[in-house]
Amino acid sequence: MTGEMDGVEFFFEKKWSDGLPVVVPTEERIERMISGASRDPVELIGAVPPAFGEATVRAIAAHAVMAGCRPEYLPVLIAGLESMLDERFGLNGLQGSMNSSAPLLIVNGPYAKKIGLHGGRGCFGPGFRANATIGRAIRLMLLNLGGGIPGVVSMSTFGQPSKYTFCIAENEAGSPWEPFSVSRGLEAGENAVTAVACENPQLVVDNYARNPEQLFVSIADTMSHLGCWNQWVRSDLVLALSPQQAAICADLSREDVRRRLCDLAGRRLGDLKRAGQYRPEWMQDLPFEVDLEDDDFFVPVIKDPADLHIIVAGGSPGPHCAVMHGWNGGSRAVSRAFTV
Amino acid sequence: MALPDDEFEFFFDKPWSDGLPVVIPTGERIAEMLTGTERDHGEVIGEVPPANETATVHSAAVHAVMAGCKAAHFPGVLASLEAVLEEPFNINGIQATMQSCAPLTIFNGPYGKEIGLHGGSGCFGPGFRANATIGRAIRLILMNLGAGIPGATSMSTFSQPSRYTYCIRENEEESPWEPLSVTRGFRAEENVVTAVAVENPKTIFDDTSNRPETLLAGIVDGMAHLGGMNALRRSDMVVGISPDHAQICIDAGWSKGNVHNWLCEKAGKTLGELKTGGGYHEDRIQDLPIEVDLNDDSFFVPTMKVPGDLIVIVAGGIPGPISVIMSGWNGASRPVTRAFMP
Repeated sequence: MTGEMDGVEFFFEKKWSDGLPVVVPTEERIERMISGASRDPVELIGAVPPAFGEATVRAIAAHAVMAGCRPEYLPVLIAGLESMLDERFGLNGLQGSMNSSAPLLIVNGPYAKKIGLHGGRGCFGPGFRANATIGRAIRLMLLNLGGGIPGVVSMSTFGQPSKYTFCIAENEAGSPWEPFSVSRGLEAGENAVTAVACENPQLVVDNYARNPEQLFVSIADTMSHLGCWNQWVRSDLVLALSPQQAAICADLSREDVRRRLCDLAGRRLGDLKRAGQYRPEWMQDLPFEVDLEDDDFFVPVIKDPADLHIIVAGGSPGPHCAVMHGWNGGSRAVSRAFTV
Repeated sequence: MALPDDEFEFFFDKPWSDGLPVVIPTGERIAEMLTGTERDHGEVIGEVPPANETATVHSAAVHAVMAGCKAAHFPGVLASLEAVLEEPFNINGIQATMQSCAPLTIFNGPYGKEIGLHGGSGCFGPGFRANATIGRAIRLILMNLGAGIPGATSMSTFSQPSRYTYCIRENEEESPWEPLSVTRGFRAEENVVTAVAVENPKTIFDDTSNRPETLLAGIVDGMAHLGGMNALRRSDMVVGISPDHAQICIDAGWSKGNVHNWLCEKAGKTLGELKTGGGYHEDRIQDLPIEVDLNDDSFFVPTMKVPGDLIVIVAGGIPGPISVIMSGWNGASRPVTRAFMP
């Protein structure tokens, strides 16, 4: 065995390993990583719950090395962690949850393109170092600084593959609309990250739809199912439209699409009552009035239109959308601008 | 910028990198990996489409090293690869598809437990080396020997996170039912791997039900969505039931077969509902292995066109009021189950 192999094995033996090999964080590599961001290495970004290990710039850089990041990824990684440590994001609850949700990072602005963060074909899968390693560095910090270890803190029944890594750019070039970050109130041309706690992407395949109303049928049906949290409580939901499917909707604004899907996606109260998970008190907690005696009452899956996050991603050709359901309502998506 | 002398950078620069760091496959490490099997190092496992490079025991060992496997994991890599390369699985089509499915491998039998392959809490996520690295070795082989590279031969619009790694064990210890391997015709004490091409897991949360009928109503609804390939085509599907959910069924006296049949009977849409969606096409319905009257909008089209295409396993940990659904590909792949000798 060489020295390097021993180093790799050392990290595998730790409880906080993600199960994959890491780059050994030598002093030299950490210093090189720190050079990727113009931040003071001792600056404290925050403490990662529930163990509250301190994420300094230097500690973040060490995890960036382990994950396999390049130095120029560091500003995105810092901004991503900052957004997840925002109180509204509810990271503490997410770390312990029995559900499977993972923090998805969506990056807008020119810097993502510059570092090769990918929003096009295959963006949720392997083959793109910036996507793979930024998302993985987040996970390593949640495990190591936050203690979100399966069976110790994390009670996730199944976990999910996107807990390894879950980071994409929006495909701004393939979008008929303003960048997603602009729809969240940030400036066009600004570098921005959005963190949202959600499930794995579920595909919506439709290669025959020629107008938005046809296309929305299968999207709305996939958004609303009795097993997802969105059906019962107010929660976020991310819908990624491929450029091809977004083009079908190009005569509509993003806001038009959002409103229409909020109207279409849902279930009748009578359908909800068939499911074991139905609880009348949840219906009474919703931010709108539900008549519990009226089985024809339509309960929308999106309780507040602001919770539906529509982005454009994926490659062309591609008659697909991806739906990512939200967590239990204990988290709100957080967007923030960052400088490099 | 990275220094050229950092050995990790060499592999990152290759188009067939999965984007994560690999263990450098030195001669010494490959030799160590090969101690995990008694098979001849030159033995051909098969050709990996579409590039059709030959996978031998030796080249599989190279990728197992890169993925981070231990020698004890190597028989799991070989067994997974052999299943994925069987003709009915049609890995050639999966490599190129615009859809996102990935080969999920499910292990039964004593070997998986011995090497720490995990079927309990968090089994689909990070933290378990055997799961993470066996699945990743398969992906690296599909990319490197098969050229299943995004934009080169892989046309997947979105791809999916489970294409990094997708390997679990059935939670046999906490299952009240016979293992999947037995359901599929093998003996319980045999080491068996099943490969099936599916989407990411979708969770079905229910911590209120205490009867199978209401519990399964949530799963049935999640199976039948119009966006999945199963709605309009014959395809596979995997339902992973947590031990807690399985207990609700067993308390009511339901066998795995009862659950399986219930899901196949109840999950589906009426023809009228299918017609409202953009994906509907008469040809698709006429191609199904069931007789459908195209003029009868109240006709119930089941999600599972052939009950044998549904795979029910017990997985995940306790506590766990959650089950998962993995929808299938376009119908051109069939699951493959085979026994292996570690």
